[in-house]
Amino acid sequence: MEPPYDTNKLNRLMDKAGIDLILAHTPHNIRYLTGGYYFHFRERITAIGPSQYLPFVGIPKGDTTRAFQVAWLVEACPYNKIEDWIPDIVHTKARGTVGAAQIAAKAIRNRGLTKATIGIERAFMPADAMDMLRKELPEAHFVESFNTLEELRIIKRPNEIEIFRRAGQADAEAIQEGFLLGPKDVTTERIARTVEGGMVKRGLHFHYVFTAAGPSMRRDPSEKIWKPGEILHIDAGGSQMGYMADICRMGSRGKPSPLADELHKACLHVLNKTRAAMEPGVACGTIYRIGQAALEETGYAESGIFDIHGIGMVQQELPRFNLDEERPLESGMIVSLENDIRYPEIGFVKIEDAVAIVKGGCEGLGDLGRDIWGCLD
Amino acid sequence: MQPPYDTVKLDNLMEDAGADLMLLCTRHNIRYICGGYYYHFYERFTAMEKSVYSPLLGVPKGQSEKAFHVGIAGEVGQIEEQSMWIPEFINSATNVRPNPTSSAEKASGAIKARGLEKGTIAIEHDFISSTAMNCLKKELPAAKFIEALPVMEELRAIKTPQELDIMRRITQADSESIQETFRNVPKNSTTREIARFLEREMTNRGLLFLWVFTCAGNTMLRAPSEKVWEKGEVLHLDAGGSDGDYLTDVCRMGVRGVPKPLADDIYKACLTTQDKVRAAIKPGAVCSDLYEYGNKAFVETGQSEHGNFIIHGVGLVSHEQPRFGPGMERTLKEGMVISIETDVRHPEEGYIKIEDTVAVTEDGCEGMGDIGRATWTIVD
Repeated sequence: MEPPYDTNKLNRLMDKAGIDLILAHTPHNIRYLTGGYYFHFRERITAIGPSQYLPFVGIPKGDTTRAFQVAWLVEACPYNKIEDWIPDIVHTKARGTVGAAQIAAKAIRNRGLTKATIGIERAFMPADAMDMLRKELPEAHFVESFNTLEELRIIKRPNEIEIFRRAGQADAEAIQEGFLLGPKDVTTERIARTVEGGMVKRGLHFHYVFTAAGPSMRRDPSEKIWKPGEILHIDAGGSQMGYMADICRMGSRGKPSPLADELHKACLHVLNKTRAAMEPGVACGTIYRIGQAALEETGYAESGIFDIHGIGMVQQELPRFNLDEERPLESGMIVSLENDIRYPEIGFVKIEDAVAIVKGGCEGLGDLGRDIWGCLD
Repeated sequence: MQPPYDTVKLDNLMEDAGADLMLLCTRHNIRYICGGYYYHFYERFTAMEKSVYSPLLGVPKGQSEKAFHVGIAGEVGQIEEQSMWIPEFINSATNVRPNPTSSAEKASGAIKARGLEKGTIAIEHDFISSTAMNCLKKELPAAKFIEALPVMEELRAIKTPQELDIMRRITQADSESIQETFRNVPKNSTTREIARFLEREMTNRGLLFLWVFTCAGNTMLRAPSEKVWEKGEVLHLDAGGSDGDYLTDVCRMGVRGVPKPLADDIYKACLTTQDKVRAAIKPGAVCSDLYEYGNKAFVETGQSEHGNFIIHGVGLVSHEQPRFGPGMERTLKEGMVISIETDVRHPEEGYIKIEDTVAVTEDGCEGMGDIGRATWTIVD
């Protein structure tokens, strides 16, 4: 089996960062580097016994034949084969973080990399695992690998975009299922659970849902009933194979007031105008300015927020958008665009889309329901 | 508002451990101390932008009125909605995304404000981020850090009636979902399809699906895969889920067609072992004795050659107190919740397993989701 990611790109990035060995341990980077693998038993809960599950993937610069993976005994045994490209799977008998770090250090020593510069993910590294790595590899130099791995993941391959397409559509459909409960006078908690069920039914892992029923700005699912005459936003996130979907759509019990409709159209205006400008070669800063200017045009800039960011295996990742960002969009980037207007008498109006940058423009990933109001009774 | 846990017990445990302050970062312990609260947005994923959601909860010994909670601005609405008892909320992320360093800085400030900068602080070393730990050590150079796990595990060991209600309900829902799946999953489904069917059943019953091991036939492959559950084959569904992070973990057996005599003998051996151990569970029973007794009962069935007998506490963490094994001299108390598992990995017959959850009662134990355990679930 071949590594699924761009090995030359990783080598270049490691060279630039002065990293000899990537030692990845977050779910998103383990999945990315292995090509989708993560131990299913520990996908959604890490704590077990006195410690937690901590896997590692080690990739020496320029030599994927010496890559290694640290797994649990129960994970790597014949009962649960690990079928990825990584040539050397070493397992820990002990289940904890310290045992895993010790095995990783041994694999690094076996490769003669005791004095290497090792790229780790510090914010995610448990303190005791870090202590063990330092103790076992006293001459190694530890640096942050965040930028290297984030840059590696930035351009999505066609098979990754296909997952985003599917996940975005499933998310958008699940949201519409939530709106359909409107006539039953249900709580936002009940709507949240319906959206969750809708996602699971469509093969998504449910992550969260915000449900702001007007005119309150409270977004957390609660005992609040979505009443006639009120608007509701459903802002829901989930994932498939670690790839994130995050979409917000609007609903209204009965016909929305002219002002609510105007706010909705204002959000749409901002997103449509920004999306129309997105294509390979355009600088992220330019896109950001177009979005901000579009929000100004609506006349609601004071109560509105326009936000735009890359999305992938991490909720907010590269590319980043701000006034000065010169990096150009490229085919295969995935971008999330959100615009909200918080208006006291009306509520929290918001639309959030995801798009893939393609040749000549961008493709909406899950556009269902974006330009209409759900429910209406 | 009053703290939902036993404050006297926590104070005593902290006294014994020499801890002046608990500084907690795990989802299970934050939930326990807060009475169920965790910011719902980050319940099921934690990575955000360049870092990770990193709440910290501080409880000084003997002074729950000086407890503090370091979180992010976005969670204030939910905290108010749930009327959380923690008196001080500290926003760690005003102009930045959540990250462990800024949480640790804010927590250090709160610790100094309480005059505990030279105190002994109990933290969860297996979970706290190395960057948060570095920051705490830098900001609190005179503090001493010890491990929080023994104190927190002991605090949680006896479940309250409300906790038992949750565990009863979710274990029941787990068992029902497994039966529904055996009976209604389309014929000739792959174990991956079976896993997804079960996930939907659990979700519909209000559980967060966590995992399922699906071992069909004699493959021994427990991860969901492209393997079809064929006619004549056994299937074990060993499924875990949670509600508010309380865990359920149940394993039941199904077979397409009639089980073979040997497979049936193995099943009965597992069941007999489980039944004998359950009959011996009551307040005052010694954990090491139960472990020994279970292993002996299993050997007596004559089927233990390819098998395992495991018994462990379960609650907000899988494999928590009480612990069982040689030398574990603690005695059971009413309100403890225990998972019991017996399996046989037979080369020809397959991976046969039963896993139950029981609560220790006044004079014995209560099965918390026994549907489908007495016999195979037989389908066409």
